[in-house]
Amino acid sequence: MREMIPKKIGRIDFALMGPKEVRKLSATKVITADTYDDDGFPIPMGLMDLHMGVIEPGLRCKTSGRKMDEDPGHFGHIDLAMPVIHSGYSKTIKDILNATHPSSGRLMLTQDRIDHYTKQIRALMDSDAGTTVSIGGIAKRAIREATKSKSCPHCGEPKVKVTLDKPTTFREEGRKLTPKEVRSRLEKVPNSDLLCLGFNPDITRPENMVLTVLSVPPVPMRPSITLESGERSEDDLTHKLVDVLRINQRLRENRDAGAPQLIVEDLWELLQYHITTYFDNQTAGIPTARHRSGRPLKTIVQRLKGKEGRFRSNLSGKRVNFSARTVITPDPYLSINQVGVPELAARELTVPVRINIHNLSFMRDLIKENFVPTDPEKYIPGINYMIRPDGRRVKLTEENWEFNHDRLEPGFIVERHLMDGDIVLFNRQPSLHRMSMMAHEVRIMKGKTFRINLCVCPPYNADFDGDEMNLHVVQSEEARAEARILMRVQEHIRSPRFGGAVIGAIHDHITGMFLLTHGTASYDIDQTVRILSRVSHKGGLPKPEYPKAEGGPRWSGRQIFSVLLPDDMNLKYNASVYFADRTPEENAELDMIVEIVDGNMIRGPVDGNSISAFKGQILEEISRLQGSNAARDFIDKVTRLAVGALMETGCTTGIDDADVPQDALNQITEAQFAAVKEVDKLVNAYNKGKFKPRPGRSVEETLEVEIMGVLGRVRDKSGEIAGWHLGMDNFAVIMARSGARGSMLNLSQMAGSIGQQAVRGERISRGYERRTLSHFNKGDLGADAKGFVRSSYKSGLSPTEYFFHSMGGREGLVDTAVRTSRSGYMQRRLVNALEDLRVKYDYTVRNTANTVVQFQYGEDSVDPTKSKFGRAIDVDSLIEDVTGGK
Amino acid sequence: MNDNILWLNKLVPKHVLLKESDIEGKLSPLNITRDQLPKILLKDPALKALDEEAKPNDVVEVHRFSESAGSNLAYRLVVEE
Repeated sequence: MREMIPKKIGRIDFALMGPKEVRKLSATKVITADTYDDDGFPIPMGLMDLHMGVIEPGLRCKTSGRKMDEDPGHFGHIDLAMPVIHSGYSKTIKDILNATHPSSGRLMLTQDRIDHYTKQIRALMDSDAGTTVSIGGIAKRAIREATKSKSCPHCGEPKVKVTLDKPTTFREEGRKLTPKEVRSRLEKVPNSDLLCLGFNPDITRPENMVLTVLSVPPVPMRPSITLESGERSEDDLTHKLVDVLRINQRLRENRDAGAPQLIVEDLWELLQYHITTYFDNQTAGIPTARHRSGRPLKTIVQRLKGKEGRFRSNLSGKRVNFSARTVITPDPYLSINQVGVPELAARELTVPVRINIHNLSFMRDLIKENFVPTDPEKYIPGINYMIRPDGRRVKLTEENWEFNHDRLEPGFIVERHLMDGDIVLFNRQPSLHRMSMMAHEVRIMKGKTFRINLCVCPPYNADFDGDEMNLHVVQSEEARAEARILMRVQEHIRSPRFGGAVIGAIHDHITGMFLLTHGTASYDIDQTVRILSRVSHKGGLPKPEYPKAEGGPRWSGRQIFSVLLPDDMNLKYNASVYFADRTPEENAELDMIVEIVDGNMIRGPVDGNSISAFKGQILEEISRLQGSNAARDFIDKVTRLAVGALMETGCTTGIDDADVPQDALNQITEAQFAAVKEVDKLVNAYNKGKFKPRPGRSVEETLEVEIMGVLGRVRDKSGEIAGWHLGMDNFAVIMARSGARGSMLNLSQMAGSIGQQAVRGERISRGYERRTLSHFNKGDLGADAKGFVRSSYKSGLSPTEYFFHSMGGREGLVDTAVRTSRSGYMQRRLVNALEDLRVKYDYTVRNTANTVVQFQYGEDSVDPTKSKFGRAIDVDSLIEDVTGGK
Repeated sequence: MNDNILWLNKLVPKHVLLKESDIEGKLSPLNITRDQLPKILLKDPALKALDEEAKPNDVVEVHRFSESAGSNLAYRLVVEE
């Protein structure tokens, strides 16, 4: 169905309207400042004149005869008693006054130069190719050149400089120029010079920047509202126009009565003020006009500008139908591609389906099932509306469903409720990257929340502390295809930002897999089958690793995990639990190296370095080499397997996980004592002036650096001591080392010592005079006085330590607050600059003017999502494949 | 390339002024017409440091270092302003 085009816009000129155009556009002249008479009827030639449109039901517009809501309204006009500067153009006016000669009105350039610039601008006007050179830019140069000349080349007279007192006062050698004078000067500029000044004389002329007639916007643009008390309240624009009319009237009377010049000038300036604020109530240099209540008036510029303005809020920010929003909750048994939608939402959201001979009986069944359900517990999608071929919409109700059920035939369109398998878009704000909006398949569920798989939390940056998300139902077949092919979650497992996976196992999945596969963990036949049943594994069990074990054969966790690996996979890498400070041999001994041969895990545990986003090697390998389908399948299954394994082992952590033996605590205290002593020694040396500064640093800076170093080392040392006593039998340690959650630093801060607190990267130094707190001596540079916290979170902090810790903590909070607002604005500017660039089929990156921005996309034409961390080819693994790992 | 101090900086890529006869051969394989090229100002220090004098509507070839591809050729149309 192609729509008829009644009229086509060939071209749009943006230009200033002169008095002639304003009057031509006007439906009525406005002369009285009043709006309604005592009966509430609009006063003729008042601000609410019926010629300018209607806002009361029952009345008709006197210009077009239309009723309220049908009539967009018509402009009116006010004849100004004296001309007034349009404050938005005062800069342009100044430029033109300075570039032209007051008496002759000629542009102060030689005829040669004028012709030169005119030619350039004409050429630009005639060409329609995209360009980055603007007419305004050339005009600006012409004006700059003309402003520089000392005298007029046409009449030879010297020029006089005009200055602008913002916003609207022009001065010539200290003497005020009245708007009238300004206008008459602008009128003198001959048409032949105007092109150089950036004006097209066929369309407009510079004197139109000085207003003699003010256009009055249609009434529907500034409707008055009736309050509950029956009182009328006018729009801010109407208020402002009332002011303009009143002063205009007084100015006219005074002028005509021959009042003293001073009074006329005052009124003239007042009129200028009102008209300036009518356009922009935030003009710099003049007070803002206020409502009686003290609220600043919202005039024309305020309606358009900024985040709440017409452009960003109403034109760029569209609101849509077929969308839903609710709280999200997790469901580990959903696929990452799915989203659980509550029945309540599904019955409101619809998909238009065109009836054909294939789906006719299905749709009839849906209608029938919804009004006469066979199983009321089961969710059966229904139909809200059907659209007949003639375009009529019919709502299906208890009364008419039987009739419409029989009448349904090919060619009808029905609006079907959401059902399992429908594709929808799912989004969480702030939408910072393309993974913030992905396509999911619908699963209708009981309850009232959206359910998502936990692995898609990181790309959305979602958690379940009350986060809400939006869901949009795509309505056309094309949109569904696009969503399915381009936007499905599985197509976003690999990030375009760095060429690795952003969706992978998290938290409990990693703990679970580690517990399943670490060391000699093994499972009897019941457990093995139970765990494998989670991934709907088909085909027999592998040969048990421990066939002769007591109580029947046992399978190792690695064997169970290997079921998920592709048969041709060969990998060797260090696990996350690898001790970086020990030799490879020691690590191999401790089973910290992963080796996979022909899809079988030979050794090592599965942890963060295998299956997590960003660094999971197995996930990386599968998603890069086997495609998104295999990757999705792997993530779904690994996470289910992990949940299954956790059900067998269990995992818990508590305060006793931070318990260390007393002699370890003694060791930590000792180390701290030694460090504090060392600091004291440094401070003493400094106080005696024996301290030598390091290159490029002052003595004080060197001292600080040294002290920070000493205290940093003791923090590490106490962490090490605590770590020695926190073994792999400790769930907190397992989580930290396997990369599930938390770090060894977090643990040592709980068990050992919190360490130095810092503000702005330095030891805490501000507070009282020459000391941080009154608990210390003035000038004390020791560890305790400058924010070193000896205690651990478990043992608790002393009052001074607590205070220092709060100082450091506050800095963190402030930083995040500042960072988000700043990066948000940075993002906005970047997006605005880049949004319409695209990679063409010849791999050039071009903008909408079709000019080249980059000659080859990324300079190497590599799609980062298909690369390995930015490299198109992974040479190392290629060599390994070819040589067989030798 | 002359010994202008500009070229000693490793961040300044090599600029080559193309002969009028070469331009067509360089641009047509890229499917680019001259008006679609990015612009370079005539007053750009790199153009001033060339052996030949560039004039508006000339095309320069820029041998850029590329993080991703090693080296990369880009073209600029000389404009007066």
